[in-house]
Amino acid sequence: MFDLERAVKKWRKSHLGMGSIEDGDLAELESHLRDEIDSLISQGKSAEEAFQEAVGKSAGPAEMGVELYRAHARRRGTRRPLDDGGFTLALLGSNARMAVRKMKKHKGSTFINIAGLAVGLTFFILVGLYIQFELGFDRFHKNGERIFRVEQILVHDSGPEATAGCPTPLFKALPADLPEVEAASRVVRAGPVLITTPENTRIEAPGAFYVDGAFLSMFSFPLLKGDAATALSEPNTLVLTKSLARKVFHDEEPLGRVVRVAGDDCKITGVAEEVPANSHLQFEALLSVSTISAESFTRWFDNWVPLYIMTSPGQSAQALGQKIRYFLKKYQGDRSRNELYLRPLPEIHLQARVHWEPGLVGSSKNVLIFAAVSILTLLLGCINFMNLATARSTDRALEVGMRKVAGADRPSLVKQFLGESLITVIFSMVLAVLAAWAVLPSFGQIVNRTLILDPLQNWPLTFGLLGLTLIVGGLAGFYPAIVLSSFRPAKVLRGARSSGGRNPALRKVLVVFQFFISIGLIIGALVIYRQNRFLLNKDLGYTSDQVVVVPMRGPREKFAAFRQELLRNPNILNVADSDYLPYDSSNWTNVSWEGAGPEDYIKINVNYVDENFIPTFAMTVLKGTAFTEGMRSWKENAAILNEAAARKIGWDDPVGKRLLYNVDYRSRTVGGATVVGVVKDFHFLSLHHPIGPIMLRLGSTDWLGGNLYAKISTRDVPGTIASMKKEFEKAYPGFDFAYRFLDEDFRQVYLEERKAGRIVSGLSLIAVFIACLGLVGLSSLAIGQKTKEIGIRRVMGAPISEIALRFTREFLFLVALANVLAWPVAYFAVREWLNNFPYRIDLGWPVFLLAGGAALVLAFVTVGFLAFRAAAADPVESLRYE
Amino acid sequence: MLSKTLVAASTKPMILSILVGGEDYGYQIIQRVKKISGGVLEWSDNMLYPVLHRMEDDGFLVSHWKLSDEGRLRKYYRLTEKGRKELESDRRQWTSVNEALVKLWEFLPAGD
Repeated sequence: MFDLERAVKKWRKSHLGMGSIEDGDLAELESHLRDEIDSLISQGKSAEEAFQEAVGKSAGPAEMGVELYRAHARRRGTRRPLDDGGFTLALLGSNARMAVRKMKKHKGSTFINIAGLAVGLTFFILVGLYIQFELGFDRFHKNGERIFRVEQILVHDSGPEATAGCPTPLFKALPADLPEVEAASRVVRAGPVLITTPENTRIEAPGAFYVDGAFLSMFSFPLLKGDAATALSEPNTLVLTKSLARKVFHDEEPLGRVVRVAGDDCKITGVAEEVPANSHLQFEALLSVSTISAESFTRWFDNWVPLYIMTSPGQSAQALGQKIRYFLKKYQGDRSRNELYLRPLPEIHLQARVHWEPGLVGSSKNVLIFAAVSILTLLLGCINFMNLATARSTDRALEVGMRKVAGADRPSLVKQFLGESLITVIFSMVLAVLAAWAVLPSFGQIVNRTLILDPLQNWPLTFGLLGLTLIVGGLAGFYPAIVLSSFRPAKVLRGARSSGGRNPALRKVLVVFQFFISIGLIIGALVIYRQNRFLLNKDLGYTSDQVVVVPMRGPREKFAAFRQELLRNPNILNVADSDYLPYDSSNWTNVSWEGAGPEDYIKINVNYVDENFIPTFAMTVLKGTAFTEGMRSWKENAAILNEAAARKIGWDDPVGKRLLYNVDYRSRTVGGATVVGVVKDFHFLSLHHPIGPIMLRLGSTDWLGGNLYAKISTRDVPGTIASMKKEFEKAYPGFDFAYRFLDEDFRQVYLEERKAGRIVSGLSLIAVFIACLGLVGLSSLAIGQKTKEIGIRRVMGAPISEIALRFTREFLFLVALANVLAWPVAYFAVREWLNNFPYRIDLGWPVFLLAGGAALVLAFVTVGFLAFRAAAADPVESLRYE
Repeated sequence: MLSKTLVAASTKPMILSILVGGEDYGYQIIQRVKKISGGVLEWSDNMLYPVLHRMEDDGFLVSHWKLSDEGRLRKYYRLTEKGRKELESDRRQWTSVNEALVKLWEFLPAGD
């Protein structure tokens, strides 16, 4: 039995082998064939005869292919093999060409697709570079696996404190007592330091460390000149990086020269390579720590020396960690609850959050946040793509039907659509890489790192991007490909094309999801912003603005006269000194009191200050008095407690009571102090810590503390600084006037939070942008589909605004839904983050309402504009639109 | 038997002239040409379609697909403004040649 359809199908297949016969051409030819067959049948021939004759009249596939190739070749202007054995290749090629042609035809939606994806990709790349950088710190050291930093857990009553500051004698005791420790080096921050040559050239080194001789053998900071083994073993020796050496000595030989650094004359024993950006220790100069008198490193309760050790080869870090845990009991006594532990070198940058940190730290939490947010943003771009591709299926239904008629089978259609999406993704990726490269410097500033985009060197990056292209192209193209290629030609061709894709519901879900993410991000950004502002503006219990800090130490005898000279300047309002910065007080000790039981003592923070400290910082004395100069001559020291300390001890009125010391690290006597006053609680540590007990003590008479403070007026600040400098150099020649402003210093403490804030706000803006792009695409399509309906309504007299509102309503509902979903999730996320701060904002309604309101307004404006434009169009045009 | 070159040269002006009256599809165009020429011109599919495509590329025609009532998909072509102009130009050229030939053949015996 002759089957016409099967015969035609066979005929079709024979033409498909010709790469030059495109699907549209084939459809046309088939239509022609069928017309011929119909005509012959109407003349009385049988189906079989008609078929044979019609085919006979037609040129064969080969000849047809040749002719069409010639016609198309003019179009292309390229040579192409006519009859290639690789059918897939030809199909791919023609697919690519068709994809490009289609892209040109649908400029609007193509732009939206590419823009949305490219934007998401750009930030994915930037954040990826940042994360790659952060994770790769300190991996360049040859002995890296054997290097650890010894960190301490100081056990206070108020809780444990992790610190990189180890007891000062530990650097000697640890290698001596433990054979597993092959080498050890102290790494004490010295800089910024001023280097002065005998010829009086003065150059500042922003980063400098005091280190032991073993440092250069442990770490891979290669020396260009000098011997690493011995360069820093002697006191008063100095190693400079190449760039610093050039700054100081230009082209002269630096080795052997003597310069003045931080009050000491030092000989230059080496020139080192520049320190790479991904090292947590950043420096331009290294000084031998033996330059500092050995005296400073003898007390077991002085905890301020960061210590790095190198284990002997094959040594298990775990075993050693166990061994050193209670090491301190041997030297601090059994009562000491302080513990030591080892931190592997590569973990320091991201995971160490300790006091006395000498190096550059990042935040592993931030890394996670950035990774999550950038993935979300990329997801949004992909969702956009999927949504738009499926939504455009009305236009494509006809094309799909045609192709199926022309004999394309489902796999080839899927391949075609996947190919199209891949082309789009490749375009977007190229754009994204270019954009990322252009924006990289600014991004680097925001995250405070130097990042480089070098696909040729950075193999993981390049492979990652290629893989990403394939994945995104596959993902974003897969769903539309399946949906579109599953259209039944019969159904489609009979006019069921206004179905608009099988699943408008799914598209709505995707829109909701996009806005869900965007709103969540906005909420996050708002909360971070408010919390940061809160931290920076919180009342610290003292005023720190207009205060200049100059680190210094020296004989006190000159200080009084120096202070008087300074105060002669009417713009200098007060001058004080103390051991520790008011917001970074890290000296803890045990203190007992008169009348306490044998086991009664509290861990308390101690800061030695002078009598001008409290007035300079405008602290509030609640009970008793502040320090006076007269108190210096007392036999016992005067002390001032804060409210928390008084509470802890259990004194309602501490004034006049006596405190007892176990060890006084300054004068090395066991003694007591009389409480003369109580000061209002102030934040002597960063706002990451709750306020604990602190005791201010009047400093000793013969030696100055670590910092000098000058409260200056706002008038003529540069002039004031200059006069301060003059007086300082007169009084303390050879010391560096390395001044800074206290409040700026303070802001640095919260650098990581501010970074997080900026990144999240940036990304949330992008997410919103992409979501809106998606909305534009979808709504313009939806409106396009209803153009006729709009025209009819206008003709029937409906006002423009009513029509516009109708369409806007549906999308607004989706955005509102997204809000409802986003709020609880965002609430939990930000609450988690806020719980890290003992001092935090209240999470109130305004943030959520603001985010939700912004999203609604944006959606309303976006969709409303398009709807209004469509509604306001000439109804005649709308009706004529087919 | 018409010369190939002649057939080839006349295809474009013929198509343009037929489409002046409105849009049409390939198979129909072939039938009309056959009728008008009294059966002399019988275009084949591999002659017509490449020409149609080339003319579309050159901008003389635009095409679109239409669904017939019986459910047959057909590709319809119609003239563009450029096409109309091209038709005018072709018409002038052919008329000039024709007039010259007619004058020359005044003196020849009538052909068969």
